Amino acid sequence: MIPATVKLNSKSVFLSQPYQPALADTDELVGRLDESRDVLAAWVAQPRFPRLCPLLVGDAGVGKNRLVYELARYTDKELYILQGHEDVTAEDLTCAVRFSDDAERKMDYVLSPLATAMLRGGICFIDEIGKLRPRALAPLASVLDERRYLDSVLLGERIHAHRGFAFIAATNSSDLVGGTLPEFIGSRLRPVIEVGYPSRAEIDEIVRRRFPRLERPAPASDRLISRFWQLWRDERGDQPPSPRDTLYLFGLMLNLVDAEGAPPGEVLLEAPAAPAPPDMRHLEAAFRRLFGRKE
Amino acid sequence: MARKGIMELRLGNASLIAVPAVHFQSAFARLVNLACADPSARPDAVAVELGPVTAAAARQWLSELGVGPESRTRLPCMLGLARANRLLRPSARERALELQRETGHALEDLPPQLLYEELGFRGTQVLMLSPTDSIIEAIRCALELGVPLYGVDLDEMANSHHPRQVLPDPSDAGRDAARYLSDTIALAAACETDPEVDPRREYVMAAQLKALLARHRRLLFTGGIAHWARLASLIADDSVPAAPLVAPPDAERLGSLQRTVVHPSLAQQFMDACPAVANVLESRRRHPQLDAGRPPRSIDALPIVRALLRRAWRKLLAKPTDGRTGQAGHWSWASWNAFTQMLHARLLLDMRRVPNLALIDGCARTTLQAPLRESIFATLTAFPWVDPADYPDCVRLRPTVASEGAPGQFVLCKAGWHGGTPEPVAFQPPPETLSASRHERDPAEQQLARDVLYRGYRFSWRPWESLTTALCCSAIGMSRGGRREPCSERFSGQLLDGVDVRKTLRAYARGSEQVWVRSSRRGQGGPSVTSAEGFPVVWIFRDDAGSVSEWSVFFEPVAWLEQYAHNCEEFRRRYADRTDRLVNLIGCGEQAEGPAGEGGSWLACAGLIIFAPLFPTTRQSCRWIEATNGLHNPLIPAAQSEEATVVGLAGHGGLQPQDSHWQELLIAGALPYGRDGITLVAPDRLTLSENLIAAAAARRKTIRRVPLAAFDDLLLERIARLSSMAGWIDKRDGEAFYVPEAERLAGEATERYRELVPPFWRSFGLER
Repeated sequence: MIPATVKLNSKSVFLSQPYQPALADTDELVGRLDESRDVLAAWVAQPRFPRLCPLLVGDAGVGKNRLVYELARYTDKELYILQGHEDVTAEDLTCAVRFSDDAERKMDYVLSPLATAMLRGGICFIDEIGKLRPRALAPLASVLDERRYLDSVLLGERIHAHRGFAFIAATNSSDLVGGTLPEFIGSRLRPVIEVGYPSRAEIDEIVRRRFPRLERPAPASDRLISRFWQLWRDERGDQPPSPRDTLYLFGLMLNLVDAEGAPPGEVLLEAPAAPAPPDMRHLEAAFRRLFGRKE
Repeated sequence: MARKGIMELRLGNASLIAVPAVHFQSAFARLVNLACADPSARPDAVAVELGPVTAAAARQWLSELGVGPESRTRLPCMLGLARANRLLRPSARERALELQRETGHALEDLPPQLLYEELGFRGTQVLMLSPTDSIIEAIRCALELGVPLYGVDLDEMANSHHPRQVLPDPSDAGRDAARYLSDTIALAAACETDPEVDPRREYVMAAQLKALLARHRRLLFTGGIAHWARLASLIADDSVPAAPLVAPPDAERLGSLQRTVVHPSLAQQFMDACPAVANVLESRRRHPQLDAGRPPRSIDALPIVRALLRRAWRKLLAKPTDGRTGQAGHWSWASWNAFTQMLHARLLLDMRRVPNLALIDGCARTTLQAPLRESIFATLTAFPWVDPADYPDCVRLRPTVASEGAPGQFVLCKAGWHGGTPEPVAFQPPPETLSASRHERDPAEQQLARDVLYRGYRFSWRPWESLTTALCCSAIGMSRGGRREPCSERFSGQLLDGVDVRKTLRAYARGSEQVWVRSSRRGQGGPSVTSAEGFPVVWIFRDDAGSVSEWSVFFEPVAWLEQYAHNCEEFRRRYADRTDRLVNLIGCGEQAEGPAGEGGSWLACAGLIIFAPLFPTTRQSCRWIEATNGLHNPLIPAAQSEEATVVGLAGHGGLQPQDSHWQELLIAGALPYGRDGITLVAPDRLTLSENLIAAAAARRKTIRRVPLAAFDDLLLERIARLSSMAGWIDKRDGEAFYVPEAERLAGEATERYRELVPPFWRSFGLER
């Protein structure tokens, strides 16, 4: 547990809280070896060179966030996430002020996830950085180059990055079309790591690991997964499925199985103790519902 | 027992001299050469980890190429031997039966990609005749010494599956081979094997080697390092019998292997760290017979790679630098620093001393701009590649190029680099890493794409498209009188256009402690540049009555678009003929002079019809067609000429083409494709004929005029010069990639003007 407040010179400031991904120890990342190595290589501090600040680029649902969670677990660092959207302001990136809950104080300073990660030597992950407006990104410039500090006018302080601080950002490919990321940030976000679609073998492995229930009996699960690929090819042609799409689909399929086995009139909010095995009908129904396949 | 990295195993009176190797690493090829160099310890026979037929075919071809006891012959790069594979993995049997039941077809009638995905089956196996591989070096040495060569492995085997293994850097073997092998053999043996394929192969190899050791006093063997520990224990195991000797393969069996020329973009991955290492290896190699007693000099790949990177660096420095930005051409110091930093860090993480081509390419991809990557890659892959014309009887093996096949597939071409069916191919032996093909980056692959697809299509130049789309949107906005209106909003963290003092004071006067800031918003009822309504946009740059000599029609074939349709069946129903074309723009004017080069062409435009925003990807164009039901784009048959297209469109617009000026043809041609009208950007002096006005009125279409003078002259000059470049289409989104010289010919970067396109159109249709 990290402290709620720290003293920054004379001021007491509230910290953002790190995100703890709900990953089981056995829930290892499938594939992504090259991408992981690229990020870890970027974070290797070398004499005279600050750590690089990688940018993950890929389509929605391919697993950019999952990769960051895995790297945070692997490096055993606190992970601070800032979700990018159009209304994020420069102040949101540094330090915000709010009315205090404490009767003796008027205002509280609240450090952003970026500033907190810099103070504590954690990882700051800005998700969907392509959605931030250029003027909101201005404070990042000094963080991402060799200066490694963040100025907060509101706080009146300069926050220098801890030696262990690492930065990473991610954006959807479509948000980068047309050079929406301003040059002063784009040139500081290197390496640009493309996160593509996983191979079929990796998708199969992800499904098997996430849904151990499919493992028994093995030939039946092979048939189900094979049928999924047939359906996908028929519907989407050469466009590969993303892990998110695939997991939603198999999750819905299992829910349909459980719902079918529920006593009439009863609403199931948790999986039954002895669930029935799924078959092709459930898979096809889930596919129709999620991807709009016609009857 | 190991001597300088050469293992020796005694079995009775015979000795097995073994070189367990990491494939395609020159240090191990050198060890094999070393084992044959000493006349007192030369082998009587050579055995390799290949099947008897493959080994004999390789030996025969190398012999025909001039490798022999009396000549020093450099191995042409890259040649290969391809053979069809018939065997499935045992575990895939059930699924194979099921697949035949499900599809109603025999396995041989199913597409190769389906067989690969469902059964892990690859129908073709290829042996690369790379000088850096110890097996090929062993075959060369056998020929040069004039001793028998044996292939002791299985000729036919199912594709084996090996997880990626991390072993100590094989380049270390060049410095101290004995130490490397002592450190690595146990590690390699502990790596995960393929239980369905490897044990069978190792048993057969051990039995064959035992039989050969009964015939030869000194037998040299080279094969993969991962097999060696198990192989040695099987040879020492008395319960493993010696295999009966088999007759040498006949001509018919040798003919089952196809001689192949391998494309450089694939070959370079089988040549140690980079092709230059193979070059050095050839120059330092010793002929075991003619240079007897002179051991080959060792090779360290690190200085070679460093020198090449320095050469690439010097080339960059030679380019003129922009004093303001510190950029020379397309690179900056910061990006080069990031590249070197990444490369060092990846070497640390991968525990490698020498970066190979795949690693350098990976680091360059993530840190450098495309032209710089290409420059580095071109320097690293410079090599005297074999000319396929010298081998007219050989088939050719190449990676897939854009818009064909799936990643990781390869194509065996019967004639030139054209044709052939993409299929998954197994390499036997496999390289350490085989990077996926990246058509748009690797110069060799760009050249390949040109060889295969060149002259197929020309694409309008991206910066021209971007600028034209941006100006069309501006024209649409102006035509409907839209503008941004100032407004105030409550301060919520951003000052925007400054504090609105009046409104803030008024708020305080009312007792409301609010700060207001000035902003702007689009006026009510203003135009929407993000809707299809404004299109088509007709541009008339000249108001003279003269004629135009050239019409140019830019289109996308239905066949390209349909693969991106949300509903393919509906798309096919609507556009039944896949050869038909949906027109995006029409230009008229005169051919213009441009820089010398084969890739580009220029049209000095007198007028243009822009039917739709010009998207960089076919996926986006398809979304546009779906969103507008195809009503904004004319559909024309493939065989129709440009002139016939324009005349047909004008006639469809209600004008008699033979009596009309080109300006009227353009406007009338656009009329049927506007929802309630079209946007016309023309000089003020241009008067519209009564016929044209009547034709528009008959169709209830409005012609919304915008004066040409409302636009900057320089920008107008730029869009009046319609540039197009040769290129090819990327498979994934159908994005056009231009030939490498495109930027040089055009004198501008591909991404220029992109920021001018409204964000809505930039990202339109890219969501999945």
